[in-house]
Amino acid sequence: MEDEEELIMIEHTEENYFDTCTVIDRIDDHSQYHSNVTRAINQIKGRLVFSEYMENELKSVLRHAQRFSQRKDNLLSNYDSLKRTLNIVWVATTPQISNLHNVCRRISRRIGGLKFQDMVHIGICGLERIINIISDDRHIYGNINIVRQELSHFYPGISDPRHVYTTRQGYLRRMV
Amino acid sequence: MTEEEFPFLELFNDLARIYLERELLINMVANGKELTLTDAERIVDRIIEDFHLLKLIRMLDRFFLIKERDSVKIVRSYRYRLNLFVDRTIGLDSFASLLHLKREELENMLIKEKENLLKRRREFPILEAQLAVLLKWHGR
Repeated sequence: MEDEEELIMIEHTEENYFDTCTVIDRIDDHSQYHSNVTRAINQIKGRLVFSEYMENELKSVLRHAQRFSQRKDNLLSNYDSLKRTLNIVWVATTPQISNLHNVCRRISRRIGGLKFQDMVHIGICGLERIINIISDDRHIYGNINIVRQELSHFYPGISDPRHVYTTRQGYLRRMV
Repeated sequence: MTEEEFPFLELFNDLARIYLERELLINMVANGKELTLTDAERIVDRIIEDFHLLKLIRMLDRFFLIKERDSVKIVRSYRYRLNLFVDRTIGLDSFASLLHLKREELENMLIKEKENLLKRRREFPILEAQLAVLLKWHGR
């Protein structure tokens, strides 16, 4: 059965977590998705959340991707400006989040198609009770409920984040 | 990887650990404002200091080179390479334990482990040859 999708307006009260590829598209004006993502992010009225875990991954990607080799310093500077402009909520990598790494690794053997880092991002949202994960990678969060179910064996009461992605027209959509 | 498949495995794992600590430290030092990623690389490489060790680290950098163009594929490719590398070297538990360290703790750890590795400096040419083979296997 195909997933249903709905166009959404994010409420003022909702927190929105950004995963690494979405942040890249936002800070890289050479990306074909840059304007869509920018437009979509501008519609968000709720609070925006970045994590130290995502930021570490972002910096590594900027350093290792051929595409960014000449522009990595400028892109990081764009990221820093973005962080200050959006007035984001910050999630530091605590020992609990580091441990999430190990847990996700263990359950990743039971959930095909996902890298355990995908699950760590979902887990961070679950632990921090963040409602929306905004990711351009539609496939990553196709299994979001299964991941949450598996994580709940280790973290009872973990919340159930929803996947939101940006469309080419610059709208936000979520799977229901 | 086993010792039989890859002699000097322990030495290689020590190098891998230093490589991963350097990665995390560079990311921690660079803030995009006063310190760029290029500055941070320079600062951390000044801690490592040894020319031959830095040469080995640059060789490992080639393993992580991402050629994809699309942001989703770039991130997926990075995750794949990192998982492969961590899995076959220091292991995920050990890597995860580095993630929440403070800058000073990571810096001290890097200095200590670098000094230990430099005691086996005479084996670096063999490690370099092994690394070259490994990179060739992975088409790098």
